[in-house]
Amino acid sequence: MKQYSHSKRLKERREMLLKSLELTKQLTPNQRYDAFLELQEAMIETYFQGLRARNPELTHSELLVVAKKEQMGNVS
Amino acid sequence: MSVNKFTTFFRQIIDSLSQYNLPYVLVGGTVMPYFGNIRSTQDIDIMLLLDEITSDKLENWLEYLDSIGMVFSKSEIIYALNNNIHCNIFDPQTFVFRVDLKRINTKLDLLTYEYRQKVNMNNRDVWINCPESQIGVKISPGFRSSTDLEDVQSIIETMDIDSKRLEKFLNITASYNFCCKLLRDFNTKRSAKLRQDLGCQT
Repeated sequence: MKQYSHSKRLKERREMLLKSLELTKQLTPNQRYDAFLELQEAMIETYFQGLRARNPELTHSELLVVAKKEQMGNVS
Repeated sequence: MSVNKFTTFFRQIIDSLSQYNLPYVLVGGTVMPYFGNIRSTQDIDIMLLLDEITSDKLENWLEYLDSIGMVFSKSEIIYALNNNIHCNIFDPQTFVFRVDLKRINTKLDLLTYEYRQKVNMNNRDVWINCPESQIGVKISPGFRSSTDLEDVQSIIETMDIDSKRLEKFLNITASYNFCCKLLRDFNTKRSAKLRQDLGCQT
């Protein structure tokens, strides 16, 4: 049963991926790269918003020190 | 579009590799938008071809990166590259973005380098791997995460794949049977065509 629901979820994910790929394929490589850059920017914004929310008293330079500690100890 | 933090870091790394004439190939998540899947990544994965001639260039490159504020330990990077261990150079503006650096060492790495291609990315000429290499690595044992397999599917749905070349990568990583099974699971026109081109029996 567990395996069945896992396969079902996997199938649904793949169907979703295919739908998004249909849209992606209409873009040129440069347009895809621009979309990627926007995602990268959103990721970094989200990360620093989270840091700011957890450390509202810190300045940007101090937040960077926290980021350094978190990220440099977080390498796989 | 204004220049964002990732672009600044990316260009500093790529421009300096060209400036110091270091032979490299960019692989992994950063090349995925070129191949199909658009997803975020922290890593700029770079493989370096190093020999006696390039080792001096490597030292100069690291000194330059240090002078512009990149965060890393030069001795650790040199030790890691000499011992075929992955190592990192961090973006001082975020510490989130980083270069994941490794030395070209295995047969798979060498084949990836041999088939590298120059493309325009982020207004720069960049040496990236070929889609067949990206597939070959992502379905090799040790990878195969759900993200890896989604990347593979997006490459197959987006790019024209050279089946003979892909077979070379699959043979090195002993992933031919896995690839055939995966293509069957994808169950699309393009995956069926690739299965046929590869001569999959299972």
